[in-house]
Amino acid sequence: MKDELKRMLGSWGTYLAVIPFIVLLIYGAVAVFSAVKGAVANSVGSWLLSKFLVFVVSAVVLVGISALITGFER
Amino acid sequence: MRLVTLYTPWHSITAHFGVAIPVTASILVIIALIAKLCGREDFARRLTYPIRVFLLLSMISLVLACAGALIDFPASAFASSPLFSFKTTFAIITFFVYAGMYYTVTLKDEEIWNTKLCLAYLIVLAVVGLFTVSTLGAVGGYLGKGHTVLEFVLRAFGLIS
Repeated sequence: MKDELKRMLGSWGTYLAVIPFIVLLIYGAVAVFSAVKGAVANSVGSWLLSKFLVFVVSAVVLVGISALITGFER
Repeated sequence: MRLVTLYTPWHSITAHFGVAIPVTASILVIIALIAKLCGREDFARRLTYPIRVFLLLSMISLVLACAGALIDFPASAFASSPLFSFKTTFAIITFFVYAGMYYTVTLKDEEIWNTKLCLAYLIVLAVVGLFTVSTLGAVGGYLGKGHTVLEFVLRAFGLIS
């Protein structure tokens, strides 16, 4: 499992796509947070939380399963 | 009827790459599976590297499409419109579906065609990816043109009546 995670972190996909995607999401969250006004501003916290949950769950589940089963089927 | 006005054409340009490249990657995986099932494992093995490259390009094209969306749409729309909120959620899921596929192929390389669990996971993700990318495109089409051939999918998610 440790080897799999190391190889994942060192791959091109992490540097060219995953890290830029995380940076973009953080930028997007900040941009939305500063742009909303009025009634929508009250619900932006729950919007951010729901997107953060989607991000964490999909990243951990989808990439985690990939690391787990490739380690399991070595 | 157009539901949203774009500031610039960046999302229109990048979104089409963000759909076409992931769909190609998914179709390549399905073609390789069919080749393996037909006894042409050598062909499936030869497709491993193109699949890996297309999966990497899929992730990059999705990042560019998301960046295009942030440039083109008013930021407040992401939190206020249910269609935008749905699109954001599906974009995040789609990205990690293709990231999961990329990492599985990267870790197993050509050996993936001799495994059971990893191959099954790759196929499931390829099909799920096809669905999520198509749905993302359908929402984009609906926002841009006011109609889409996949309206029944959007109706099933309760996005339109």
